[in-house]
Amino acid sequence: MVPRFMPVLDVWDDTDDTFTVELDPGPAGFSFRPGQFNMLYVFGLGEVPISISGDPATSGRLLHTIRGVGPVTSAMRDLAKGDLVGVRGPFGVPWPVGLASSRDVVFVAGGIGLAPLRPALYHVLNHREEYERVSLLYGVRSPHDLLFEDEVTEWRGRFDMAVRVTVDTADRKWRGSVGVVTKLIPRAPFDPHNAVAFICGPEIMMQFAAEELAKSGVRAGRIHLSMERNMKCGIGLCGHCQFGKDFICKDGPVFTYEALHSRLDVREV
Amino acid sequence: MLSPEEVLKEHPFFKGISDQHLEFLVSVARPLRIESNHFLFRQGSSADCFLVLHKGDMAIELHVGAQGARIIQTVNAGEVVGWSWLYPPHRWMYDGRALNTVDCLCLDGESVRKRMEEDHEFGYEVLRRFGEVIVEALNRTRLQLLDVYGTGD
Repeated sequence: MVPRFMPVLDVWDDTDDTFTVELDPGPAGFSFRPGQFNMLYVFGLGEVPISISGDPATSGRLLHTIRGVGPVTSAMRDLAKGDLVGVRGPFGVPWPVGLASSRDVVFVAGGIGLAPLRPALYHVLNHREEYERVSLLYGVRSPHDLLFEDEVTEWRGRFDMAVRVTVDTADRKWRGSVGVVTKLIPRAPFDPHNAVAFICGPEIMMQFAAEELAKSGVRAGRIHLSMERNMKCGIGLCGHCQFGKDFICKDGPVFTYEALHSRLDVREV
Repeated sequence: MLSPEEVLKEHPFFKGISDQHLEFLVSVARPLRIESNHFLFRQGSSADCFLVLHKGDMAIELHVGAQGARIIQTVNAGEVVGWSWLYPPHRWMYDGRALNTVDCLCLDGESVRKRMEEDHEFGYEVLRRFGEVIVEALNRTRLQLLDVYGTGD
């Protein structure tokens, strides 16, 4: 429960409302698994759960990609080099990248949901020979809101990965797809009977994406979603993030669609 | 290049349709190739056909005043485009622009409507398929309207 204090190495904007904070974990480094999150504490303001967005193979720099929506996350945008941030973690159940080995892997990201998925993408690409076909299906509001644009462009250029991006609306300068991310699923290159899917984004988008994947033949137990709730303690004690029988912080944030689907469309769990 | 019969037989939209109905559809189909950035139809013009895309992608656009043309949806090979031919006043509601070279079949709307009136079984088959397309488009549009990627401000 006691935070480690880490100095800020850098802060940069990813989009108009999203930025990345790079922390120095010190000589001991910081080990985490793809999909895990940290509780980040800003002095005098409070603590928030933020997914780790960097490469798990690079323990010397710790990245969190954040959208400024509340007082704590907005204050994080104003952090400067050398400022200290309290870090508790890593917490939570990670993306089961091992289970995806020898299978087609489908990443479905919506908006800032690409950030919690990126460590799993790094892992798969770092161990590319262990996986079959890899697809990234990414939906955002507009071309202006594309997260990690340079990296997505680089991935798009790879011969061993299919990248499809769609936006909700665009002008004529946009040459890509327009429409919801679920529309990309039927055309993505994967064998539904041998595929594992990782989905992260707004809950309603994840629900529709999981339904579309299940409709295409992917087993509900192989569809994984990362849930978000108001987390406080991060270790399953306070109950703030309770979702039915589970605590999102301790039993999640990554769950199978099989475990969640009966709860996703319930008004109050 | 595939013949109209081959295209319609393989196209997901017509999956399961009877040989007799297929034969009629082939008789009213006209192959069309549109180069990138050219328009397949323009907003307000006469919607005298619907398009069965078998190669390429197109953008459905709406001119929004000072904002200019906004792409509201993209459509890909394996889909059909247009239901304005079904109902009066038979005018396209949007612009349809090719994003790359598009190969499609243009099926004559007036002939299909006439056949639907004469042969209600055929009419049901056509309307059922368009119903699915319309419902899917409506569901996707509803999801887009939610602006799920916004901050909720």
